[in-house]
Amino acid sequence: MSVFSNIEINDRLNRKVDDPEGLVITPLLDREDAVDKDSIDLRLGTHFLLPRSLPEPYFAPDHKTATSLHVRVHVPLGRYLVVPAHQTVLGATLEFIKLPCNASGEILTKSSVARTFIVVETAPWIHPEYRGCLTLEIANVSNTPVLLYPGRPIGQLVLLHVNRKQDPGAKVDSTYFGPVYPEAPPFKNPEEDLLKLGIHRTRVLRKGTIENSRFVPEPEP
Amino acid sequence: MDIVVLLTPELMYYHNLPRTSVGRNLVFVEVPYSQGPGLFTNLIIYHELGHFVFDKQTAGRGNAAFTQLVRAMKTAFDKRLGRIPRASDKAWAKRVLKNWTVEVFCDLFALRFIGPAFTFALIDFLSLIGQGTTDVIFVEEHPAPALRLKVQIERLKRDGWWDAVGDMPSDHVRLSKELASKQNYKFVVSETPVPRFIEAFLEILPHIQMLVNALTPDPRPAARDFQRQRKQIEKCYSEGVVPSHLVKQGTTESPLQVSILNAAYSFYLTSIPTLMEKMCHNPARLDKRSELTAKLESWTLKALEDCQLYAASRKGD
Repeated sequence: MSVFSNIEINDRLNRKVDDPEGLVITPLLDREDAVDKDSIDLRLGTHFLLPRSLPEPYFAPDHKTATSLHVRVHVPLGRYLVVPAHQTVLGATLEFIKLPCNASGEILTKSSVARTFIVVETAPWIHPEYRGCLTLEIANVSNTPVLLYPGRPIGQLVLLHVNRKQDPGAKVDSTYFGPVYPEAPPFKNPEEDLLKLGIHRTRVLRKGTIENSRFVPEPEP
Repeated sequence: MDIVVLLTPELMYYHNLPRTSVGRNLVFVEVPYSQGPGLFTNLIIYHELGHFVFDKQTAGRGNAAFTQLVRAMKTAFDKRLGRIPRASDKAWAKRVLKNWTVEVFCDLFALRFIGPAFTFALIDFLSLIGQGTTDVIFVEEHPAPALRLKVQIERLKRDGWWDAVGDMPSDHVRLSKELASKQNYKFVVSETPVPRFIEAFLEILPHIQMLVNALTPDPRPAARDFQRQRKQIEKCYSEGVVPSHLVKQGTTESPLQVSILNAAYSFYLTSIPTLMEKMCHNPARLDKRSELTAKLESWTLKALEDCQLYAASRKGD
């Protein structure tokens, strides 16, 4: 599994959009500077999901509450976002990316950014044929609030060869198809996931009210 | 002039409070809740901006084309409706003619900026598909949709847009052509046909065109760019890719924003089912169609923003 060189990156970037082995990165501003010997610099986008305090004393990653964890915020270019100490926000790359069918990608924190104790972390792997702006988990691991400026470089994309060809009849996976904003994760209810493992008893927390001594669950959305 | 569009019910509320004063250049456009933040139907906002521009002409001295339009309105009124006896009826008749004039001006104003995407948005906004019998009826506030579309198609033909979209396999194009061919307009007030108004208005129409020409930029370069780039932009959409950066024979370029907007609308009208099949969705599923339409709108907005960045970075070089 070898890493793409700048020559191969540029070759893939120059292919047509429907070429399965082509690479799309847009907007690729200042391309000569952005494409390094073995990576491409990516910038921070303008949309964020910030964690919010929930009315419940817990967060349950289930179908109903998964999207309630975040507040969507738009920070235009020229403005900044303050990330409090020890907090993580979800951002996205400014660049929209389509990976070739025979390449995977890994996103790394840019070293200059990492030295300010900002870390792009935890889910850096990108599958072949992925398309969309990449959702970034941006953690401030320092003891002071840090300003993030959309439009500035934040990460590096490294591409790796994968020994596969495109299956022309294959359908496109729609789970994270072409997002341009950071996306909250879609969860099923835990009992549905665990049922696939043959687990028929799952302990859950559900919201509801007691009416006449009887528990009435809140309706599913 | 900078234009900011805010979707805020609070401002609408403030605007409707008695004795509140707002800035002279602050324009309020009420958007139905059902329309929400949808990109395509909100293209109608360009029409509303036309009202602001027309009001500015009325409030100021206006340019030569505006003076000619006012003169043409007076001539047409005197010739066709001058014999109305009561002063209050005369004032009402003048108001009706002005309403129609302003509406067609605003349609053409929007059309010159955003091309056929405006016509398609108007058809969606007025829910004209499947409507049928009322489309030749003028009402006090608006000319008949059939006439509005006829004028728009003529304009699109002259500006070079219609060649690119006129053969599109879409209900919107079919309906536009069908309505444009209708001639039997009627002006109806309280279910009674009123004569001579439409004849007067048809004499004013060429002068509206002249005013629009005088106030808006030449759209033909945009139409040419659209013709050149449309296939490529639509190919990006069918691949699920933001079309801000097109590769052709090893070279790259950014399309004009208006080309992106029109290609997006064309794709929306003709190709969403194909994209749904590619993603293993049954084209009959409205929820999936709605999800993909939202995606298409988000790719389009992203492409428009990207194009601004490409243009700004070229200027900064």
